[in-house]
Amino acid sequence: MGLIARVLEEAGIATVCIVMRREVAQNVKPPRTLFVKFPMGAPLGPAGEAETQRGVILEALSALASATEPGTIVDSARAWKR
Amino acid sequence: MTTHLINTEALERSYNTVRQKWDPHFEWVVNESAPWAPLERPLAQTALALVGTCGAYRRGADCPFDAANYYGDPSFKEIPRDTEPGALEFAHTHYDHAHVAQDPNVGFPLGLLRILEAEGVIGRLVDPAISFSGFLPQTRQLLTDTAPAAAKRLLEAGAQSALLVPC
Repeated sequence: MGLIARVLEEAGIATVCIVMRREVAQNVKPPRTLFVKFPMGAPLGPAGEAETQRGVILEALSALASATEPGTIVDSARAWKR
Repeated sequence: MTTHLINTEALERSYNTVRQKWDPHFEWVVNESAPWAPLERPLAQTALALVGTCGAYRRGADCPFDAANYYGDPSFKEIPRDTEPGALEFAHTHYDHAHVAQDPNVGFPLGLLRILEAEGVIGRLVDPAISFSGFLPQTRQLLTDTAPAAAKRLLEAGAQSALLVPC
């Protein structure tokens, strides 16, 4: 997915990626990344938890708006609670 | 390409699994730097596109991704931004579908982004959203063909920014 972000960015679209595997983002280097400690299959949090999902999206949008360094990785403080 | 790979036990396990089960030539991608397109306006004035890689498609409207292909499916689908979550299915065989099956917003959050648009957090949610199926051990066709085509489509639709959601 970081590869798609890089192609979009090269075309002039500012991107932010959500990732669950920090080391993949470290290697692929998307322009802006939010790392969440959630399992594969639940990138925005558990099913039915709209507030968590919304919060993760807002964290990603905040990274989109505030990052100034290419390759920035922001670590979400959220923990998986199931 | 592997000279600067940041490796972990988890990556090593995935590497071995992919090579043994699906693609004997698989290598992790390593890049030395990241491209950069500055966000030119505040979010509240920005057209934001959703790009998902969890294999979302519309039941009865789109042909599903070829999720059974050992080398993945590099194509993408255009998903109209007003698609209801209940109309989405997910074709991707490399993650647990329990959450997206119960709540499609977990993997393809069109509903949540429409709310953020209505609240003025983002200026506009771009139509269409773009959906890929993210297991792709060979990346050449994605990089030279389908991802640039998706970028072109999003620029035509007025996208200035994009949120990428994996699975």
